[in-house]
Amino acid sequence: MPLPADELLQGTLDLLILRTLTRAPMHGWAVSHRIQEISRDALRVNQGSLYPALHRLEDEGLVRSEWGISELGRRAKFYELTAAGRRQLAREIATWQRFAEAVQLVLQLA
Amino acid sequence: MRRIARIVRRLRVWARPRQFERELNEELSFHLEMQTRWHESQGRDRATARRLAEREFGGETRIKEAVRDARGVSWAYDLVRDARISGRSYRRSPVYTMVALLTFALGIGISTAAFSIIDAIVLRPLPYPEPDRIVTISSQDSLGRAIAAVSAPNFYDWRDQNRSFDAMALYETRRRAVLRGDGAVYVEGATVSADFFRVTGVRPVLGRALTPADAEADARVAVVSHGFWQQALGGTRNLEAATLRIDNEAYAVVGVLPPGREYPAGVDVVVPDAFGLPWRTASRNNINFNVIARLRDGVSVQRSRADMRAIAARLHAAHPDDLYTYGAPVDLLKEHIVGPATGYLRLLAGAVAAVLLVACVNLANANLARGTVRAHELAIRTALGAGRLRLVRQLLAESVVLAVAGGALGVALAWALVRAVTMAAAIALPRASEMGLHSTALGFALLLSVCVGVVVGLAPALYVGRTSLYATIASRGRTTAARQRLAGRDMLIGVQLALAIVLLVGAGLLVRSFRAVLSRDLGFDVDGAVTAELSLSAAYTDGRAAAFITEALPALRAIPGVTAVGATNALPLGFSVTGFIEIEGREDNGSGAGYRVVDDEYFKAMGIPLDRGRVFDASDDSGTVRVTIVNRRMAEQFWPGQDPIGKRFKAKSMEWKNTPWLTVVGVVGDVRHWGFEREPLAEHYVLYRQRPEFAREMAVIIRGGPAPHIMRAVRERLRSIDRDVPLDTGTLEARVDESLAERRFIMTVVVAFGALALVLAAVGVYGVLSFTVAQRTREIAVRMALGAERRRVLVLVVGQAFRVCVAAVVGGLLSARALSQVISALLFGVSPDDPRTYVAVTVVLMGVALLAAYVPARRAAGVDPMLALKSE
Repeated sequence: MPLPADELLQGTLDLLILRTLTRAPMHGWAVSHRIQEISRDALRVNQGSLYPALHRLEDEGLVRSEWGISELGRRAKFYELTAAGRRQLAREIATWQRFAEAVQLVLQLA
Repeated sequence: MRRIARIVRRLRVWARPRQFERELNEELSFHLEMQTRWHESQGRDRATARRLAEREFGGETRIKEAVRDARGVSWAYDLVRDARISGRSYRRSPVYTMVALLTFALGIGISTAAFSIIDAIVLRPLPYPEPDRIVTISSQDSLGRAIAAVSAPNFYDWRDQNRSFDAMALYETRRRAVLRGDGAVYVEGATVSADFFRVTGVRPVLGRALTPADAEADARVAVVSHGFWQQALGGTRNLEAATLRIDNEAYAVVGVLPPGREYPAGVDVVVPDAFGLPWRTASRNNINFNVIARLRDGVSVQRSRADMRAIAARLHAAHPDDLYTYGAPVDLLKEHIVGPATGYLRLLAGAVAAVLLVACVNLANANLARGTVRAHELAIRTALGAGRLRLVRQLLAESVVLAVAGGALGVALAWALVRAVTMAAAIALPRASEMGLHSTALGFALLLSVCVGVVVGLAPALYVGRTSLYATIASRGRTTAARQRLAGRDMLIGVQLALAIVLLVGAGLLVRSFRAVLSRDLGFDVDGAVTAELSLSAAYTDGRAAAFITEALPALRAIPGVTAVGATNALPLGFSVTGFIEIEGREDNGSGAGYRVVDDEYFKAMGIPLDRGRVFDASDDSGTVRVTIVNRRMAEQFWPGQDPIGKRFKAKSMEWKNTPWLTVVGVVGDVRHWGFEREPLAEHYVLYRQRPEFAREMAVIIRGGPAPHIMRAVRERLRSIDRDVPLDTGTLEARVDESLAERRFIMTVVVAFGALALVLAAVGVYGVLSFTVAQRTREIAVRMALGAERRRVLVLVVGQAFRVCVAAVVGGLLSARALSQVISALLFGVSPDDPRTYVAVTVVLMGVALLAAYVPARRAAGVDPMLALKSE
């Protein structure tokens, strides 16, 4: 049973999107598909959260978008990380790791 | 930085809402397509793949809402949607919309016009470099009164002794005859001393300003106003060729002033003068000039005042007998220009504010009424899930949209009003040439529209916030439990009526003042007299000028139909000259009297009665004994209880050297030469043949025959004697009208505003009562079904209005009485608490208000109980 990514901790979806976009500019469907694929179907991103999140990130200047031609030969909106987005991603990864370690510790030792 | 970048990103989205929506659709449908393809690649057929993709996708609308929220565009969209709904709701009730729109336009229009005028006169700095460094310096008499006119010797002493000013200039203004192709015209001209343009700092738009060298050389050069340049010189860029004949001397035009920079006001031609001898050594009582100066850097007005006080004290000590050397008050030029208008402006602002308030009350009331009716609609929308905040915003948006639309109409109205005011040349508003709808006024109109819209919209909006949903829906908009809200509306109506009363009392007092002014006797016969002012060129010697008059008068008398022709150096209601009188055998005590130069038939032509003695006749000539005729006032003042005939006096400032004795030969009636509102002064008349120095600038009065015909004939006859004589024709009636123009203008404005407020208040009363009646139809029907007479229903409704009226009358009259003190300076011959005005206003207001109440009351009384109850 896949976990809905957007019902995880707040901010996790943003983290996943930003991380996914480090490889290359992608359109929305590719982002969601990639997350699902990499997590071996463990995480599934709901469209209802994906697009608002993408637009919010763009609004905050962490990603920017451009219209390009997709693999279907159709116009699609591609998102890519901005410099601010990269810095933000680095910060969020660090936070996430410290958080995960802390949780791990509690789970083991409590 | 990041925040600004974000705002820019958002604005980019808001600027193209359609593109944003299209792209969002495209993005989402692309996603759907990709997902469908993916399912197909997993081995499903197209239809199933599509269905699966759609199911996963979920509610598209909800996604879009969330995206819009993320972009911060929802708010902007809501506003647009609110405006659209407003438009729909206004289209549903076109009559209400039209009335409300016009009311907004009226209120905002007159407010914007008033603001423009006040802005141009008071708020804007004068259009000169560092205008707050320019001051005027006045004379002061023994009573401490400041007098704007200054003598030349005082000016030179001030200029040489002060340590406060960079530059100081002397100037005088008077009418100058400018000769053009089609004859001579009169323009207002200023003669200025060397440093005039250093003081004002005005730079001509074309050519150059006048320099000290011009004054030194007594150069025949002139700087002209922008308007004059366009009109009289055809706006030529080539000033080399531009010359003017001013008072029959050729002047080269060397510069053109920028538009709207007319100082002194209304001056079209500025020429230099050295003001050397004889002015430097003239009497210090000869105050003919105005003085302006520019403060030195770092010197405050206060310090310059102290400086000038010290100088004036020294001058007074040196010349203790001089009349106007008791001080040298310094004022900012702006205060000097604006000061006289502040009374009117305050009145204007007050009247406008009152009308605007009345208009607002009407709109708020109407909106409140609509709110009650729409309560049903709004309650249903609330029940369907619209947030209260959303509805309040909706209502505010509605009224702001209407207010701004009305404001746009209002700006057009304001434009027309400001134009009308500036075109009305008869009223001398200061800085009229600078008036117009500037961007500040447009900003004011927009701000006012939004504020008024919010205030008016807030009334029903607050109401929506309070009511119970169930009760409102159940009652289907026929609220009977609306008593407390009705009371609020009554109060608003009361305020409105009270404001109307205040304005009407002001209007009434001004109308009574105007009538009191008109009822005064000017002392001469105003009707049916043509005037022609002429000024002979400097080529005429005194003697030749007198000879011209002596030749012209019989020629004019020979015009068919003419019954009388007289001549004077100064027509009434224009300028007047006063001087010092020394009575034979008495100590010279510095008392003064006015003097005028006339011909033999002047008193007959003007209709001024001869009390005793004789008028001038052919026996009086340049070689014979110097004779004079005094007015009653002068006879009583100087020879009380005696016969003035045969008495002698000297008019000292009239002739400086070898002042001759004048023998009184007659006494004539008093004339209000200074206008209706001034008392006549002691005056005496002398004959032009004995004072030919005045003959170059004379005016003739011609009676008999229709004015246009006489004017044409006068022109022909005078031009046949001298082809180039500058002539200005008019009538005595026009002069009298002009002297009343200012008072008439103020009265018209206040009466118009009073009438407007009354009409608006009547509409308000009518509207509220109509609404009440409509709301209470059921209650009235029940009452009538239970046996109430129609008359009682009538009384019920009118009674509601009557109670409000009485309260409004009491409040309004008390406020009016307090406020009428403010305009007491504008009143004439009527007390600020004139009982007749107050009673008349009360009667008019009660009458109009009750009439406005009677119409809906009759409708109420006409209710058929059966029909009304059945329709429920």
